[in-house]
Amino acid sequence: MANIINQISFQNFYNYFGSFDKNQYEFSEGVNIVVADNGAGKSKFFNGFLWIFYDEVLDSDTKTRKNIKNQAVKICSDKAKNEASVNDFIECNVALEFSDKRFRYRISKGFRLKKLKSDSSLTESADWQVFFKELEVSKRDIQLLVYHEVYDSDEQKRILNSLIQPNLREYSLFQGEEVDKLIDFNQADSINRAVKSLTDINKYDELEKITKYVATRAEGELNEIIKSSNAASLNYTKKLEEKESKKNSLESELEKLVSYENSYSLYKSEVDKLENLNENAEGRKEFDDKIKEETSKLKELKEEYDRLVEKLNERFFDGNFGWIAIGCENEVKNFREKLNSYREIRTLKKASKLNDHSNHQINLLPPDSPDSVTLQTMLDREHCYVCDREAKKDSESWKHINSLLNRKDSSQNKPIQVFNNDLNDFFGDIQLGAQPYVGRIIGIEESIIRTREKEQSLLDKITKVKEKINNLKEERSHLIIGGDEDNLSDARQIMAQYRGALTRLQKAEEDIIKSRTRIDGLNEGIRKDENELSRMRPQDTPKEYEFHFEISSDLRDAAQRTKIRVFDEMILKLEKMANQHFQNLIKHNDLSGGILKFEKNPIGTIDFKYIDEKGNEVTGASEGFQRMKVLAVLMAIISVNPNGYLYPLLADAPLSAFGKGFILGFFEETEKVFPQSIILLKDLYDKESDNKLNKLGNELLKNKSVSSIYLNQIPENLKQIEVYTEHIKIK
Amino acid sequence: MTSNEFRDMILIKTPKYSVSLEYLFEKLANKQGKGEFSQFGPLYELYVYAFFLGLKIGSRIELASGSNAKKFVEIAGWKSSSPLIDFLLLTIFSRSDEIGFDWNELEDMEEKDLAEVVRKIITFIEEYAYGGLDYIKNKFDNGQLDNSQYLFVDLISEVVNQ
Repeated sequence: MANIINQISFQNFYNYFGSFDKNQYEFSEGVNIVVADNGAGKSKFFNGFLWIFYDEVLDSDTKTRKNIKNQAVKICSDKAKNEASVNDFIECNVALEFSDKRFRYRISKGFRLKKLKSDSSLTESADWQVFFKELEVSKRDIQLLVYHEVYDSDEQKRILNSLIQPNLREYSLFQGEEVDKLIDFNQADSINRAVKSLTDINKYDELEKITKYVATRAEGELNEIIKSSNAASLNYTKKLEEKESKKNSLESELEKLVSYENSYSLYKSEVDKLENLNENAEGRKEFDDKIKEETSKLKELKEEYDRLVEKLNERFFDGNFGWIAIGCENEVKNFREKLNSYREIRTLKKASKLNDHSNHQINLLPPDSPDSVTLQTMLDREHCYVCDREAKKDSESWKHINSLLNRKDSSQNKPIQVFNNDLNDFFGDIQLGAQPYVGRIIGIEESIIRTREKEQSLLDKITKVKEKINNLKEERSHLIIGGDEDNLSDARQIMAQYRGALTRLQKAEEDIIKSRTRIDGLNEGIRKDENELSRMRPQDTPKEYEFHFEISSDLRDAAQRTKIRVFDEMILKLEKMANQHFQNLIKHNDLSGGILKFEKNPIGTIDFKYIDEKGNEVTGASEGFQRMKVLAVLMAIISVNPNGYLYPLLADAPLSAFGKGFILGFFEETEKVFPQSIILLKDLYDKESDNKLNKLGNELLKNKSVSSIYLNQIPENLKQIEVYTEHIKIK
Repeated sequence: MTSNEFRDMILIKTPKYSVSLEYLFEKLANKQGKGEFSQFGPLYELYVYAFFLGLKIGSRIELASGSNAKKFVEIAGWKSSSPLIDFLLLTIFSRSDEIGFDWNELEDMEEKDLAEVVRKIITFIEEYAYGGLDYIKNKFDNGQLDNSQYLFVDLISEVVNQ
């Protein structure tokens, strides 16, 4: 039966101010959730586990784990330290209770802090004296009420280790991004290590070793007894020597195989790493193309900006802008007035001068009067086209037409010079020529504002594109793994290295196959020799020795075959389970995930791939997907174990990169694999909601998979030194 | 005299500026590249700008007679493809009272009297341009000119809005 954490309580531990009973959380089987906004004590809660299991806490400033011995003053509640008087002792403790099928255990770790000065700093170690307590463990029969102290330190350690075995703690306790490191798909060894830790596959290795040892000893004893009887024939001894020689060759070949396998592992990691770089090289090219595109956009924008700014002063004179005319409204008005006045005076002057001229003939004709050519035609044809009547030569009508043709002001006569200097056109031309500026005066200020806006908009665009380029470069830099960009960025170099590593890997694989063939050959030879030897054995050989040898050899062979069969079956099962978990984990997402593929490699360990339905390897899935992959594989490894997993899962913000769909899938699936989980997260918190849970939180409240939900809160408007965490159980 | 002949009489002139202001032109009107300040291209652009600035602040400064003056290219060459010359003339003739002539009287004048009017016009340009340049010079010398692309825009906007 699995171990279940029943309770955890804190005393003056970080924000958990006050006695144990004020900071007590009860948990049961299934999913337990502690919801807390930032700063409301999630990581501090998790630090309680870290203290219990590792004597460490995560230092929030440096994001590194530090030994508790150096952190005592820091982890003790500020409020408690502030309220203490000189020489007062403050208790700072964490206590955890868990149970297996028979007992309930209580483990407690803590220290006492003595305040040395009235003005002790809340963080200065020198102002406080620390007294660490020994680990306290007690237990009681599940049916009884009273706990009994466990004094034996080995027993204490055994109890603590039984809660979560030390080699499994990394899979049982993790914070945020640590999930990603549980299984690093780029490290060939990572998945195999997880399989070895979490399954019983190691038992088969042990079995193989033991049966081999027993068979070898049985053979040795048999041969000893035959030699000592002197009954062995010369041929028998010779055959035995042949067999021994083959066995020696086999040993040496097995050593070679180990070396080939080591090389294979080495080259495999090199290939994996370079494959990543190689894929990244392709990925980088995509980024390079985007960066190139954005850079050219930036260049165009900069040119446009420079043009705008450099030619800014040209707008003073450009007819399309005419900024030089700014504020010249009065000049324009004056000019118009003067022009009108000039023209009036001029007309009067002209009329007066013309009147002065002694000519009574009509010299000005009304509009639409016939021109001189028409008048001449009318005279020639002796017909007036104006009144459509005959005008015989020398008649009154004809004479009138003639007088019109020969009037003083007609073009046929020299004009009378009215002015010394005729400047009418001069002023008219000025008015016309200046019009583009004049027409724009009213809008100049607006035009300047628009220009400034345009400049600002260009600057904004430039800033945005620059930011985009920086982001692309930043993203691109993440594609460089394990190498500095300058040395490895050359895609061709990576390709060359990759090809080299691939060749070395293939060579190692061939070596392994050849070596295996030789080993098979030697084994076959040894087997034949053994058959022959069994026939050649002297009659008086003790049967029990023969029998012992035969049985142990059979067992050895059976163990070898079983190990291979179990492993092959496990890989198949692992793949099936991993895909099942993966599909369940992502089932609330709209996107469909790829297929998780497990393969046995030449050295008999597992290779992992993430492929699409066509068998192509998928890269670059989102962070959420990547994390789900890790969790699916981890869950699969746990699920293939016939006994399941016997320990709780304790996780702080494991879902920080997840969307709503992932979070729901995670809780549903976690319940199936882990007998108990305690998850600390903020993603369900909503300050505005009545019960402080968001929609997803309220869905989980109704979900049967969830056993308990606690809500942590910091009372509002407290000074830092007064801060403490309150909690309520809402499920 | 015809309109064109009269126009030519004015446009053929080459207004002058004091050599004491030459450094301003080097700093603020240098086509040859970027400097510390926003710049005009050809020298006369700064000159015309200064003329309008001088008009707006009402600063008219007489040029000392003598050789301490430098000439520009003739007015006819000032942005001849733009409305600038006509607008300049519009401005000048709107101020005919100040310069000291009457439009209609021009039409009756003899050539030498017209030449005198043209001389007055050029002096009018030169003196207001000096007024404007002096305003810029004081700001420049006192380090009050913004090192901004909008230097000239701001300067004239400020004056107009006062």
